Order: sequence, then structure tokens, then C-alpha cells
Amino acid sequence: MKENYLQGNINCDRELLSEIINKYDMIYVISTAHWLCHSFIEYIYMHNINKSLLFILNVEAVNAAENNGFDVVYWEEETVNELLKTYYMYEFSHKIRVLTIPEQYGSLDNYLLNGLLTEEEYFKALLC
Amino acid sequence: MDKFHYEEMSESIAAIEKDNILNGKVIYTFGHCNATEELIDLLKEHGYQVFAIMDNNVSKQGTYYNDIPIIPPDVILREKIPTIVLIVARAYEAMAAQLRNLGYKGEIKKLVEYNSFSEYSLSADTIKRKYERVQRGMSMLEKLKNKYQYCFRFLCPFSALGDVFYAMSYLPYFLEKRNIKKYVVCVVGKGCYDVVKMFGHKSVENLAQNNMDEIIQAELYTNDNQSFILHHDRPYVINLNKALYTKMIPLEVMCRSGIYGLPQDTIPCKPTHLQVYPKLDELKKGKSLIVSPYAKSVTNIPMSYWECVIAEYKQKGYDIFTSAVGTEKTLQGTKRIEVPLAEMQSVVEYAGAFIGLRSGLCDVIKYANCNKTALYPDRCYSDTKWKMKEIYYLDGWDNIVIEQE
Repeated sequence: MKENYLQGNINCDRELLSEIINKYDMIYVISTAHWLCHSFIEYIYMHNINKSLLFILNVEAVNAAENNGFDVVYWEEETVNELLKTYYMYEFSHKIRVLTIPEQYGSLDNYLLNGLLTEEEYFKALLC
Repeated sequence: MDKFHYEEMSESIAAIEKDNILNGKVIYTFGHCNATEELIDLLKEHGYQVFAIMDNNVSKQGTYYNDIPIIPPDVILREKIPTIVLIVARAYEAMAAQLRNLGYKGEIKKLVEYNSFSEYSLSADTIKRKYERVQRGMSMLEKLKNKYQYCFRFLCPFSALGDVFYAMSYLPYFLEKRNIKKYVVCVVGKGCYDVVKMFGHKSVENLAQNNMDEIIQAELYTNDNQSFILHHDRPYVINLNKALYTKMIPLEVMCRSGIYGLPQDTIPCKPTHLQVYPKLDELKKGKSLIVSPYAKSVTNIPMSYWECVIAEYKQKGYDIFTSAVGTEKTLQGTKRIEVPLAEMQSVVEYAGAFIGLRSGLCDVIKYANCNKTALYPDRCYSDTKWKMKEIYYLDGWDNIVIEQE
């Protein structure tokens, strides 16, 4: 994988990406089972979030049927990785949010873990 | 705005003047901040008047900078005459996208490259250029790794003294948490370099801004776990600032708990390598006032305030000094003093009093034993509803908000 991108092979589907960026207000990418993925999606399901949201996952983490105002798609790991490769190359849209516990920088998860934010405040921040 | 970006802004204005782009157009700016105010002042020097400042922050709308109104962005659509929007704020891409989404068809010009991380395009050309940028970053990263072998890398992405000061204040705890023995701290600019040295760190690397940006991008792209970025909102992958839309979190807490993930009761470390200014005898001991009217992150306060302060302290028999560097002007009625950062605490303690516009310099002398006053414009932080004073509040100081005229 590392050798692949070091040689500059970038295969993200630009047309598809452009299409989803135009269609949705926010796009969440979850490449591994984030510890709060279920709770976040449940929060959105229970509240009337006035935004169109897309969740891109590569694991079967949620029931995709009948979601309340948001869409969920399952992409193969390789496809998600190509998207992330482009995301970590530059910011091509402010609508992309990658849900992960980063090792290289701080994140909202820190505020939640040390009690500065409640779970609800954390979810609200993720939706900003 | 730092000197590098100010020069870039000046060159951009010269270029658009040469191309006659501004003639016959109503000029708007987007994003009220210190940089935008400097742009407006510079345009005025060139004979151009800005009509309005667009800003998404509702609490700023309806206020003014030098009689120029701050308005919601959609107001520009009502304009019948050709317009142009000049942007020096950091979120250029998001602002340009917002204007286009609103239906604005006029020209939008970016005058300063603050954010080389972002370009809202997926064209093959953009991807190619951005990949070349990553390659440059990877090449510089290799050189950095060779220079500091087996060292963990801390990256301070922004040339801001206060950000670096807080980052260094809590770094020892993070080193212990991650069991890091060998490390290098990378910064942008001599000022930030000096701040890191004040905390006694031996390996410090001063990088140019564009090199820092490209190295950081390379670190993200290669997912190198031997590095850590010490900032709360730069680059774009960091989401700590989103919390500010729901909760007031002071800057120091953003660093301690957001960046480092440290508990709320963690006590900051103080600088250990301060020095004494060799010309202290030029000041009147205990009867001198050091004023610092300049800041990068907060907008200016009226000059009339400084004139009152200077008059008041002169009447009390104080000698007054303006702390300034480079092209910063000395306030009328004061003497100029240029002091290395590590010596600044000795100066203000000897002088007895410091009054400064809230800036990174205030953080550098945070623990000085003297009368200390930090001044804040009556403005909100970025596009949040929190006041500057709330975000940048300093314990042990007089924190005073100055109303705009």
C-alpha cells in the first residue's frame, strides 16, 4: 500500500467524489469501527438534523435501511483507502469529516474522554 | 499579519492594480479579522475605498471598521454595479465556495496564500499539483529525519508565539505519556524558535512556512506515527475548533486537553531558560510602563485609548516604552524598546507595569511579577459567539475589553 502511493498511483473516482460533494452537506468517512460510530448515527436518527448527510463505511456498522434523513453507503476497503489517500493529500472539500482516533494530532475525542464535552456536545460539534 | 504575508498582500495588490482589475468595481472584503483591517488600510493608501466587509458572524454584522460596515455575505447579491471580493482571511476556499453557492458571479481574488492545504477542486491538474506538493514534503521530511535521527517530531504549524508557548507548557507531560526520549520541535520563525528555547528544549528546527506546510502534508499522507502536530485548528484534519460552536473553551484548555488529551487539572510548566536584559538601567525601576500595541490574532483598538494611557502614566511620572520589532511604529510620546523574547520578563518586572493588546507576547510574559494588563477589542473569536476575552483570558492579569469607537 505504502509503495503504491509513494509511486503516485491515485485512483480515486473524481466524478463520484464530485457528485457526492455537490449532493450532501456533510460526508463522514469511517474506515474502521470508530468507538462512537453507532451512538453518533443513533443520535442523528433520533434528532431532526437539518442537513443532508452521507456516511461512507467499509464495515457493516449500521442498519442502512430507513435512515432518517441521512444516507449510508458501504465501500470496499480499497475504495475507502483511495478516498482517504486523496483526503490526506489535500483538503478538496470542507464537507469531508473522517471519524478516527488520530495518533498524529488532537481531536474532539480528547474533549469527550477528559470530560470537557458531554456525548451530546461532542455529536453537535461533529455536525458543525 | 506577519511581515511575510504583508509583503505578499502588497505584491498582490500591486499586481491587480497593474491589471486595472479594481477600476469601476465596488470592492468588498470577506472575513473581518486583523488581516482584513490591514488590507483595508493598505487599499486606502493606494486610493481605494472598501465598500463593506462580509462576515458570517452574526454578532459582528451591523458593526463597523473605520466607517466600513460589516454585513452578511448575501447582501452583495443586491449590488447592481460590478463588484470584486478581495480575501486575505485564512478560509479563502470555504468563503469562495459560499459566495458561489449563494449565486455570486463576480470576481473573487485571494491576496494571500495562508492555506496551501486547501483547494476545492478535484481536477486532474489540481490532484497532480497537490501530489507534487506531497512529494516535495516527503523529500524535506527525509532530510529532517536524517538530520534528527531517531527523533520524534513535533510540528508547530503556525507562526504564533502564544500557540507555541502553550504547546511547550504542556509538552513534558505528553513526552512522558508517550514515553518519548528523543525529539525535535519544528517551528516557523525566529520568535517561535526563541519561545521553544525558553523552555529548555535542545533540538529546535526553524522552517519556512511553506516548507512546514508541505512537511505536515507529507506526515499526514504517509501516516507517520513518529510525528505530532501541535495546533488546535491547522491543518484541516484537526477538528478541535468545532467544539467552540457548542462550548466556550479557552485557548490554553484547547492545547492542554484538546491537543494533548491531558486531564483538566494538569499544571502548566513554566519557561526555565529566561535571560536578563543587559540594558535594564535605561528604564526607571518600578516607574516604567511597557506598552505593546500590536497583535496578529486580534484586531486593533483605537489609538485614542493608547494616547489616554500614555498621558495618564506620564502624569504619574512614568517613563513609557513601546515594545516593537521591525517596522512596527513607536507610539508618540514613548521611547522604543526592542527586547529578545527570553529577556522580556526581566524588562517588565524591572519596569513594574505592562499594558498590551492581547498577543503572543502576553503569553511569553504570562508569569512576570508586575502589574500586567491585557487589552481586548470588543469582538468575537473567529466566527464563534465567544468573545476574544473569554478565549484568550489570562489568569493573574487585568483583562480589559476596549469598546470600538
